[in-house]
Amino acid sequence: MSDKQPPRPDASQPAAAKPKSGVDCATVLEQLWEYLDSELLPEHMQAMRTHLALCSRCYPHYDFEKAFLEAISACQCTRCAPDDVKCRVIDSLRRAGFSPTSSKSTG
Amino acid sequence: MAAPSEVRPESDLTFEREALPWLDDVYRFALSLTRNEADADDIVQETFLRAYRSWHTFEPGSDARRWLFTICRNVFLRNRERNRHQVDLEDGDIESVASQGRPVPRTEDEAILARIDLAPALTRALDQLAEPFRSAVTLVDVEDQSYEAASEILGVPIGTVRSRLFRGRRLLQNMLVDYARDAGIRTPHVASGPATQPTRSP
Repeated sequence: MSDKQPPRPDASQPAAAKPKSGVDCATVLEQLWEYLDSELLPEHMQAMRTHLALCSRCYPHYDFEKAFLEAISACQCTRCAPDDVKCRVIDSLRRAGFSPTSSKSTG
Repeated sequence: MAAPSEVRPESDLTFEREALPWLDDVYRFALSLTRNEADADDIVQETFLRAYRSWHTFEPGSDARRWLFTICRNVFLRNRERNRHQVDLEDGDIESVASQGRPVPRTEDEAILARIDLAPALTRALDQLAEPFRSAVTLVDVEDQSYEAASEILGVPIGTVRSRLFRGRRLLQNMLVDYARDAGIRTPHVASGPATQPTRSP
């Protein structure tokens, strides 16, 4: 995650349409999600990171989308299977011949 | 020939060690497919039963969670076919509305969303999302699967995963903006990241 996190650009500098990174603002904004998902080629990831570190216009969009994706993950990650579901899974496996270490093998 | 009852087969040990720890993950994925706890329960049970019965086909060292997600998706599709459940959108509709990349950002919407606590609204919005979008969002954003892994699990091309994912995220943002506006939240003058506390207009 940290290698995707560009330093915040200097807000006192005017935003350039194409900071010295090889990618322009339109491309950065279009590929922001793929960047945050680490789905771009390594050299393109680096170009995106460089652009975001230099561009005070694109960085807030990056900042927002990063927080948005983290919020999706955070609101669902704590959702666990109820204990009765776990028990039913183990019971059905037992009937199929499975012998768990203990009756509470899945916590 | 029968093994003494206290001796556990090696396959049971590896199944317990490598497959069962993913029960919560499979349950979350099943819920994203069904939006219905009772159906998710059935799918999770059937997924683990099928996984246990075909454990000998699992390649040691490969990704057990991905394998379980794939089984889970197949069980869901089979059950849906059997029950003739309706989905909110067919694939043709989805692909016709999906864009190639991230939709053009809307600063005003981002600014509104930056002022609300996303968690409760997001949970509700995710539940309202049509299944093809929800399963892509769940796999990539919650279960941290790559596009390639999600493509294998869902049995669709990577381009379809990408378009469902991006469309799903955009739909979520639209629903959150509606939620925020309904709550009386208006556009502020600056946007950064989502806040932890909602800010209402006077």
